[in-house]
Amino acid sequence: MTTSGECIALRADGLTKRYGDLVAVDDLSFAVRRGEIFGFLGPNGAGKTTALKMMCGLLRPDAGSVEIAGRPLVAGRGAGASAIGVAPQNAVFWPLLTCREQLEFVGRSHGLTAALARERVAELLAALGLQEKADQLGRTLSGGMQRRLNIALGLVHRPEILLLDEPQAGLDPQSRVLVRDYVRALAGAMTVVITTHDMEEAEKLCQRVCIVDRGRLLALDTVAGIKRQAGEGDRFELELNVDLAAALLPALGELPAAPAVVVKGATLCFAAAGGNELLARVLRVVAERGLGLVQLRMRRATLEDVFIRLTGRGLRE
Amino acid sequence: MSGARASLERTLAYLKKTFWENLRDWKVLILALVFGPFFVFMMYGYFVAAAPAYTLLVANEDAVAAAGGSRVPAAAAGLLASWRSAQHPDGKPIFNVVPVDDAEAARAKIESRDADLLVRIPEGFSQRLAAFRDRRSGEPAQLTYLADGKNARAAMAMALSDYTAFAYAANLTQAPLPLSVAVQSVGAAQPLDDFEIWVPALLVLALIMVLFTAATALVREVDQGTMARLMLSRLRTGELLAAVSVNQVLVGVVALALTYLSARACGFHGAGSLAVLLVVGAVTTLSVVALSVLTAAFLKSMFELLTVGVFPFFILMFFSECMFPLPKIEVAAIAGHQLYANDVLPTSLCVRAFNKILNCGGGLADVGFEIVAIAALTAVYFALGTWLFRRRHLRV
Repeated sequence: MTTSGECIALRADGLTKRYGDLVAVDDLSFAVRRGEIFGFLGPNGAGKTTALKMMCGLLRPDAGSVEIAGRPLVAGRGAGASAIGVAPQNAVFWPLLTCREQLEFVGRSHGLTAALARERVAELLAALGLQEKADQLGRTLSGGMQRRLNIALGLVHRPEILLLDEPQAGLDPQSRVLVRDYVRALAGAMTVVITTHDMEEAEKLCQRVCIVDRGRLLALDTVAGIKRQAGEGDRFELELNVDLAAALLPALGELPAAPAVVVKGATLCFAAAGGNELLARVLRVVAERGLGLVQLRMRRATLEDVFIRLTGRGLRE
Repeated sequence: MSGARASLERTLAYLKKTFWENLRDWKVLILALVFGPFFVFMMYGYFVAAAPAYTLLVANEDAVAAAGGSRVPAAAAGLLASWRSAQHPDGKPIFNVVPVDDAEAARAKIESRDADLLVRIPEGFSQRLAAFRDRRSGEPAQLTYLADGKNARAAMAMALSDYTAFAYAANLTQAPLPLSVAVQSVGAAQPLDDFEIWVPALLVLALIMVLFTAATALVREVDQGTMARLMLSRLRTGELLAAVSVNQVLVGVVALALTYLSARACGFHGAGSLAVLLVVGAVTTLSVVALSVLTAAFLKSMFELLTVGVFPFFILMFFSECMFPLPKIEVAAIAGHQLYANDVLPTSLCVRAFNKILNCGGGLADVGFEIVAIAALTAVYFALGTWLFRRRHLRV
């Protein structure tokens, strides 16, 4: 799961948090390598935010521990002050301060000198596209800008680890690209942990991901590794010109490595590894039986497929 | 960078931040700044600018029937009628004339301010006026007033009563100065009007408003979630509270100065030093900040502050004797200084100190006990408030 201790930026060991009978985080253990972008995936209510709070020292675990670069994190005020930056799920900023004022204030409250804070703030405002709004009050910013400011506030003191809780939520496509590119640029110099249930974003950004649900770790690997672990293959959807696609089923059953097939009216859906060869055979059967092919869709398995398979389709909070 | 310097810099950074927030939260700030002056003008209007009917108790000892003779007028009865018919320009009666027989009961009403003026019309009043009219005597008839010198309404009642009585007697006798008036006072000698008596309490009211601005500064951090950001920074609780305190003391002192100047504009003449007043005001504001930390410990949102938070505000307002006098419940005496039950509120001690300064011309030494007592209470409330605030808002 992890490599040697010296390149581990954050290690969670047996993290557990209970609220009455509810176990929000259940014996969660994982390690995040220095400089990587690590995805913390899970449906709503999976325990991501609770785990994140324990990772930055804002919440005391009932059991387990967190280490930041080999140092134990003690929950409490200023516990991870210099090492961790946080951008919470809901944009948290000071509505009555300008972007510049609040970024400088946070820098100063983390011990940066006035000059360094100013320099750092200028960098961040430019990088996150907030220069033109630098002297506007937080409350006058658009929702997307507020979220970018939220991220900047977590970065101003140059933390070793940045914890981003649903950073893409509420962003327009342009802002998503900007934030994604910026976070990507941070990789190497900074360790980034992103909690999200946006699988597409996680695939684009993260080198490794873990999937949690009901507070428990379900999988942890690279995106490709997780897909392999889950045994997922390519996805096929064939829409035929007959109402009952089941006419094709016996023929499919004769094929080697018969896939799990789902019939939805005239549409046949199945997933299988090594899809190209299989597809050729299926098309041959379709032709032999004189069935007309209306539409054929094929796509690679996504992280979302794995995610749904691991966490189920049931609605959460 | 040394630890102390770093701490100072963080404190200053927070001071700057909280100052700007305070300035931009203009509704709360303006409320805090004008609350005191508003009450000054309101009380001024109530006590001075209004046209009330003054309650005149009249002890009539003039026995006209005994005087006999057709040429002796029933002067006392005529005088009573004059007072009864006297009117303000808007037609409202100037006096509420109440004849009395029991002088002691009447005196008690003057002392309790249930009545404004007691007028004694002596025996032989009518005969003396008749003699004055007929030039048989050069000695004018005499009225005796009994009044509370500290009651502004008594002064007004005397002036208006004089005017009416002299006009009546001059008309009756067709002679100048047919009357003389002797004035007797009840209570302490120093004459203060009601408005002046209320000013020290109104000044304290301005300081009590800081409860809202200070609690707002803290509760806002909790409400908008930024307390978590502060918790993740190196800013310490003491630094945060120090910055809030300095800013709020500034607000309190400015509010106090504005309220004082408003009172001066309304004719108030404080006897003591403004500098001493501001020193006591600054210490008291700090104590109000301490109470606001205690209050903020129990509140999680601005809505709660504006609903639940008014409770401690009214406690301070009513039990500090800002609104009305309270019965004195003696608790202890320290170094010859009596402490009352409501002195557990620092603003109660502040009212007392302001009275000493403004009404009696007291200096720093005269209010030294109050300053020390307020400072001691401030320390206790800060300790309790900080402990509770940490437990409820900063505990992970």
